[in-house]
Amino acid sequence: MSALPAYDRPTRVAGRRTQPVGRRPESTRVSLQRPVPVTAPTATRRAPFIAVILLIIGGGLVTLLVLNTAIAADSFTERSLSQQIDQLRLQEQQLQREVGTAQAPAALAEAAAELGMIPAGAPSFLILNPDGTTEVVGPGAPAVPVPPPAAGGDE
Amino acid sequence: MSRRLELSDPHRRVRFGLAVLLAILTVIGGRLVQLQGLDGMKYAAAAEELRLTTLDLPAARGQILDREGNPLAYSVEARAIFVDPELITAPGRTALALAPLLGESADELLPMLTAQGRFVYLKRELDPSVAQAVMDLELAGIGELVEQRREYPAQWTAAQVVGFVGQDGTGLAGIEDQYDDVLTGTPGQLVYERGRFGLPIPAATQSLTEAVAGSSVQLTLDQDMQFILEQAVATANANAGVSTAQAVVLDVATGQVLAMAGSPGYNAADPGSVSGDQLANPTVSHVIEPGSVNKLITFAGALEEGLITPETEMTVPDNLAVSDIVINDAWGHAPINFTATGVLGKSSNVGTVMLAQRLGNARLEDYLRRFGLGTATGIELPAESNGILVPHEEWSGSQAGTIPFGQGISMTVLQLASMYQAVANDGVLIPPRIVDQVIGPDGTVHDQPGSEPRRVIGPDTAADLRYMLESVTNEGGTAPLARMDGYRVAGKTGTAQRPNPDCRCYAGGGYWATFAGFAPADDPRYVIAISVEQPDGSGHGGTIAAPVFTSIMSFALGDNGVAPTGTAAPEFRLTTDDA
Repeated sequence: MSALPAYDRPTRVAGRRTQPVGRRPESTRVSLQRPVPVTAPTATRRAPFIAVILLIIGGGLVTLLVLNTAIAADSFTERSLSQQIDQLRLQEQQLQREVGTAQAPAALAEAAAELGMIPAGAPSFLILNPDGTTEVVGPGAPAVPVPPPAAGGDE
Repeated sequence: MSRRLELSDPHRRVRFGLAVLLAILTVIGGRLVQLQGLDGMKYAAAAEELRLTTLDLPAARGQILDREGNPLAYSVEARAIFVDPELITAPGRTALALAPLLGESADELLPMLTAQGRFVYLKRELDPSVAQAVMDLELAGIGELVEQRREYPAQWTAAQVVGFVGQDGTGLAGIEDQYDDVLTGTPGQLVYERGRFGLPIPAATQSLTEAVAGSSVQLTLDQDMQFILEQAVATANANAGVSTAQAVVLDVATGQVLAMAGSPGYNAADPGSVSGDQLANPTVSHVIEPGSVNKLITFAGALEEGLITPETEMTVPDNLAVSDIVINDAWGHAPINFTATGVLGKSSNVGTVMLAQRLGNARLEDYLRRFGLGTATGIELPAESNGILVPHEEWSGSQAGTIPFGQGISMTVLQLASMYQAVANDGVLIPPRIVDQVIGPDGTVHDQPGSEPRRVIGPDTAADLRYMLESVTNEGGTAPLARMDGYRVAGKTGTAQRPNPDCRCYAGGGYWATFAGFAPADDPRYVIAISVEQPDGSGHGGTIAAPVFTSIMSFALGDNGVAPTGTAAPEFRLTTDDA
């Protein structure tokens, strides 16, 4: 008896909401009669159903296969990309190392000396006074060529 | 016949067939229950074990940076090449193939390839590209491991501060040692299921514990100033009879160490090439007897206690008997009518001892301790020495006579610099620090607690001392070589006798030439302390240490844009004969 209200429902929805509750037993009776025609046909009406099921199963299998293939392909792509990342990271590391070595004070001093540069002496300072005048303070003299500090040579 | 009859009975035949079928089914079913039910878990685990692979993810060690963020130490990925000697069939051929790639001779490799056991490192800390070339040879029994290599791009520069790591990556010296816990990260782990070709099986069990990189340590050091300082001490070290020179630069306002080193130093990228005792940081672990630079404290005490002013007149002979010894001035002279400024400016030992006697041993010790002597500064470096300051109750008669001018007491060059920092900073001593901040792997900055500033003398006393110290570099003072064009300089020279380790006496031990000072004298920015140890030399602080001071100070001031203050030094009255 619990199934009855379920059959009942479509009719009720189709009907007007204002339909009196009192009509309910009548519609219940009508819906009970419905399954009767379904049982009448046999094998001929089952064939399309089986075809649909087969189609779904087949489709599902194919989709699964495609998905699996895609995932596997992605994992190959991932592997090659992460290898590329590794390689680039090592390249970056190498470049940073070169920069770090080149910007070390000793290396800079050596490179500057090779370019013929000499250590500057104490600088002079140009002071801007509030009234707009300027004055130069400090020893500021042209640098004289002295032997540059030996690079890295604390030895 | 009867048997046929039995079988021909369809009922019996069916029952017999059923019994056979049931027996077979029971066997199969039983086996099924055994495999799936009883031992099922075990087999599933074993299968997963075959597929599961654990990959250790090494955590990067933090960097060590200078105050500008230049890397002084950082880690890079490297490879180790190892061999399983049991799998080597043709050691000679393998050695020849590996030799050019590993940069070793085949003769050196051969014993490793034929060693006992199943694991021998052939070479470590290789560039990944080199390791890849080795693996491309596809030699049986040769494998590679991922590891880290520590890079020290500045090499010699700041090596004594930065330190170095051992082959296992733990810090063994300097900041690498002191901050090992902070620099070391937490290694991670990737557990995954592996397919036939070693590829991870997509969508299968994976568990990833990310490696957490170590924190970076930013120092207060200035890499460029450090380089200049190391050049300057190396130059001083080149003088005849000098065994080592040390120098420390402090920022007056913060007490931060901007540069520190002792010659000869070493290359942090190759610490194995020098002997172990050369790997220390002598500016914090090596003590010196300071000599006359220590007079600063005697004068600080006398001024602070109101015993003298810079103009106080005193008649000073050239020698004075104290207990069992006679204190002499460095030069013979008839009694001179010095001002207190003159006693310091001319560095008279006798005058200083006369002041110390008025101060008394207890108060002198108190001032020595106030200025941080006898106690480590607490700087973030390993193996710091306390220095040696015996309680005054235990001073011998001669020690009471010599401590005022810096003999019979020991300190590190860092402690010496810290003393002068207090005077330059209006009497507030800020114990020196070298770690500015710790930067977490996610970039969060953890400021270091820093040190507790403490007032050691009043601001007026500090100002008087600065005036008196400036007389040292001016006319009649002991350190005209510490003068700099355009800048006013205050400082003090020292020349201390060095104990002879052979006889435990001063005879033949040579000297320490010292200098400590700051500039500009009327608005101090940087303090520099210098010690030049000369077992065979006889240079004085004013001649051998003062030039080191000017070469470092002129760089420090010029590089940081400190303009001369534009004021002229006052007239100094050293003796009552002066106008």
